[in-house]
Amino acid sequence: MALAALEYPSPEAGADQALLKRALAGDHHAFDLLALKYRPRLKHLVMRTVKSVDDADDVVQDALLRAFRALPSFRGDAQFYTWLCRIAINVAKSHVTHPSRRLMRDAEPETEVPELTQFGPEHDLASEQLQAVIFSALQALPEALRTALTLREFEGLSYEEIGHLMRTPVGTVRSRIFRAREALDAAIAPLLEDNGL
Amino acid sequence: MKDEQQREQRLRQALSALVDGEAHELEVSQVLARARGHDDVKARWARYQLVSAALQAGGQARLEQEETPPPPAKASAGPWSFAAAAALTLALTVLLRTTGGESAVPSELAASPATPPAAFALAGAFEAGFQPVALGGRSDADRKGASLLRYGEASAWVSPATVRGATQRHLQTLMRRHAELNMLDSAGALVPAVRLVALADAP
Repeated sequence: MALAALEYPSPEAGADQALLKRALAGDHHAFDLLALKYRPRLKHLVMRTVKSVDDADDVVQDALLRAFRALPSFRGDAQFYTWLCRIAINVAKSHVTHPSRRLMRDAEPETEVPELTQFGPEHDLASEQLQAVIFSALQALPEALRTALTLREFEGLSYEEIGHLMRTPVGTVRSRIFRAREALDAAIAPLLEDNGL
Repeated sequence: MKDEQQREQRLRQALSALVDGEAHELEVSQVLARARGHDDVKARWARYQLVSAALQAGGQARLEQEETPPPPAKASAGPWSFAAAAALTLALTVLLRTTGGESAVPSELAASPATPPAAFALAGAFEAGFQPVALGGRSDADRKGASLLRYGEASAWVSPATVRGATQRHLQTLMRRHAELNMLDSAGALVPAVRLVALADAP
């Protein structure tokens, strides 16, 4: 049931390719960046199945480690996130039906697994407060920066498409989106200081 | 020191491009190399992703909500509209007298009484098929250049620029006609002829 919604194409469908390629070649850090990207969403997903936040954290961590190990079997015929979701859902179900079963990281300490970075819980899901700050900062941006970022984030346009629309070189689009992100990043920094971000 | 800052900035820009899947191969390598042993890169990456997720989750709805233009102000004639109407009515009266009643202006306009709202039917007369126009009050939306004038019962909203352009075109026609007649009346005088040529060149 939930999987049908997960198939909805997202603007970032092609955004993972570069990291995925590196991760497939064995680069732990590339996989770590992918894990950082998807961990909050996976946690949100498994919270429907498991009861506590701690359990959800454990399940997600386990799912990510399993995904890393199974990465060579990922054929790329589904979106990477969809594939991750299937693994996470299976791990969550297994966790609920067989709570005594040990998680992978406990069961196979000798297996090579990456050190996956985890930050504080505040960044897991965008809170109302965080969204308000981000949106307020977005509104305060110069129009050129705001337009470039919103075309990217809301419309999922590529830099080239945005450049075409805004009649600016791709390099300018890239720079504008970067500066917009930096401004929003600076705006949320005080909220995230306590979370190691 | 400056080089270091520029390098740092380039790296952050590459990280931002990587968020969008637009980083070059070399940049991906540089970011990953830097990520080894530097948690700040991963922390920044996580924050960029957080911003992205927050924007996609709630930002668009908020943006649409805030960017919806306020409902247009109810049609009313403000001080500006009375002044403009009076000026236009005067110009029209002079023109009609000058041409002895033979005007390029449609008959329904020539017959309109000199009260402000009716005088503003001028704007509706020069574009075929348009209904009489009522001028809206000045609102925030007007200041932003949003809707201003409403056409009759159909409640079609037209930008001020469109109306201004049409008014300009019509006034230009009237001025040309006026200059023509002046030249004919003052046979031999140079100034009216020069004025007519100047107006003929105008867009």
